[in-house]
Amino acid sequence: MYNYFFKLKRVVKLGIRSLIEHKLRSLLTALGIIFGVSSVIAMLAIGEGASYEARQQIKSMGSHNIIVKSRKPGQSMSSSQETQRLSSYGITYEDVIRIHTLFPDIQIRIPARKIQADIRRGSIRLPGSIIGTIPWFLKQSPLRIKTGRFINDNDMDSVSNAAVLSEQTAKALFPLDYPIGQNIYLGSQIYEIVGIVSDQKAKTQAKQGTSKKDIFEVYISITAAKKRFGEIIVKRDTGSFSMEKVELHQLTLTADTEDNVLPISTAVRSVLKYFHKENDFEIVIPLELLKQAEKTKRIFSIVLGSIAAISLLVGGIGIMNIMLASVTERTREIGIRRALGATRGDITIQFLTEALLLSIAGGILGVALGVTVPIIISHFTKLTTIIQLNSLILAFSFSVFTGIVFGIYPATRAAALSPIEALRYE
Amino acid sequence: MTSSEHQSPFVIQTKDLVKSFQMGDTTVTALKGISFSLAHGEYLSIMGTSGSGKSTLLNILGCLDTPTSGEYRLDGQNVSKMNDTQLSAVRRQKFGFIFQSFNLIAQLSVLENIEVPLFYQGCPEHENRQRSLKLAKMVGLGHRINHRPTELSGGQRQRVAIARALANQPSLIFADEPTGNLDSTTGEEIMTILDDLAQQGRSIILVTHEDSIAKHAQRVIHLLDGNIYTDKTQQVQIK
Repeated sequence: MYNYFFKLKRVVKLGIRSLIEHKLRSLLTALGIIFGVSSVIAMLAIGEGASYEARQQIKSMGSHNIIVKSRKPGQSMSSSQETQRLSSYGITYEDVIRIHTLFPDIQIRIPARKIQADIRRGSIRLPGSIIGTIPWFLKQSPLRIKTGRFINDNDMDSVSNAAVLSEQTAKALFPLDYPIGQNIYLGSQIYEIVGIVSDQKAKTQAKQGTSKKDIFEVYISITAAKKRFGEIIVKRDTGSFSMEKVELHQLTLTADTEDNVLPISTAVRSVLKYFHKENDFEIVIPLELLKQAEKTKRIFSIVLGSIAAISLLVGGIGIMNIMLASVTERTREIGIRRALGATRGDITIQFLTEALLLSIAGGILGVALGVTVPIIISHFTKLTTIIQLNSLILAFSFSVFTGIVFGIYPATRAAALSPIEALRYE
Repeated sequence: MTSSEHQSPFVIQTKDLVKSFQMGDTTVTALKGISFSLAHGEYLSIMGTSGSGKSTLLNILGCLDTPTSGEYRLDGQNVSKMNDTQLSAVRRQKFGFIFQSFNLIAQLSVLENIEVPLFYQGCPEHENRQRSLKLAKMVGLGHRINHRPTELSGGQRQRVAIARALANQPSLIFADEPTGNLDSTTGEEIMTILDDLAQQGRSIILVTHEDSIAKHAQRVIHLLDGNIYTDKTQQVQIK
């Protein structure tokens, strides 16, 4: 065992010397491996960086989320309705209710519909934010009922004029008396106060002194907000203008588990399809995008892997070429060593070691170059590059593997030479 | 180390050694039945013109080649049926080679060249170095151990080769035209070293076509067309 190790050490030393003896030749041979390894590492780093960015973007949308977006129906449809001045499309509050009935447990978030309007009670006039909301908004928000009740389903269905005040609004409007049951004006309409809510978050912020100046908030049912305040977007193009009415631009549904994301989205899609004759909505599923990104990445990796295999193959052929030349050149040396008692195995190991050293040296330089290139690229282009340890190990071990594969043939050729033939070789 | 187990009084015993080569359609028989024995400590020279078969015989005796038929016993062991690995082991343990063209490895220094046989024996590095250094000093090259063979004269190179041939303490030394590439003065110097080795009791087989060189050996075998023509023991003048 000791002898074996000693022999190997000596053979490695010898190999290094013989490579150093032919510096230029060794370098040129190793160049194939160097470029192969470094390009694999660099490409993988760039690919990984790009896919990381994509995944981050998708993840920021939430992997449990299903995003339902309003979309203007196809151009062909709208052209037939061009004469219509007001086009209405997109998801509606009714859709929200339908989804909520279907899946009472999933979170549905609607971007807050805020309408700026004055709040009046007698002589008190406050600049207010009127927020159209839904009954279960309460559960998902930091709001807590202080007195009375929140907007309920009844308010939604009957488009009632029930209003819920925030604590500050209540204090500002009713400094002295009990607000529940009283009437206030929101814009030009009369609303009846049914409850008061306190904002837990705002309270803690107020304690910390980070609260913004007083916000006077009033919550009404979203159906009432839709009916009384509406949402009409007026677009002015050159010469003409069109009006579009979109009740909701976007809904975000949050499933409890990732596994439920796809079934829920399928159900939601079929429900919406049933009620929407025009294709005026789209469903974006970040999880699906994520899966797609993973798939793209896999394909990318396969492509890169093929490039790697090809470039390392070319590098390996270079090694084989030079090793074959070396065997021919050193036939005499092989003969001498055989005469002095070297076995075929000894000769095989000597030449295989040289091929291996070439590929290891090429691999190390390739890794060094492969690590440098992405750093330079990301420095100058602001592209994210991620060098993974795996890719270094993969590229390096592949280059060593190439060295073995392409070193074996020349080494066995060297060993197969008969001692006398080799000794006679001029 | 060397075969101290002398079951046989002979280093070499051959019986009807035949070697034939296939040259295209014709079969050339280089050795047509060589039978001879070499006792321990014997100094033998093999002579013959080119084509007489002396190189072929040397290759077979040196275990660099195998006979087509016949028997070759080395220290009582039948080596004619051995495989490549076993023959390598025999060369490694029992033989020292000295060639006409020196056959030193150009990339290695003098000392490293001497170290090669012991390296293949698996001798520890330090011990190998010590022994090789001693041999280099013995052949008078102690001051040139770090030189490359190309930086040495022909005579010096052959001295390195002799030191290398002695490294594994062989039971038999083969010298194939050791003076062939040297001028007569240097050749004589080399022959003096060989004579000294013979005097120390080493078995030597010297292949040459020069009478003046063959004279150094006690026994001369003449080969002619693959047969032993004469086998004479002669008086050697000792200076």
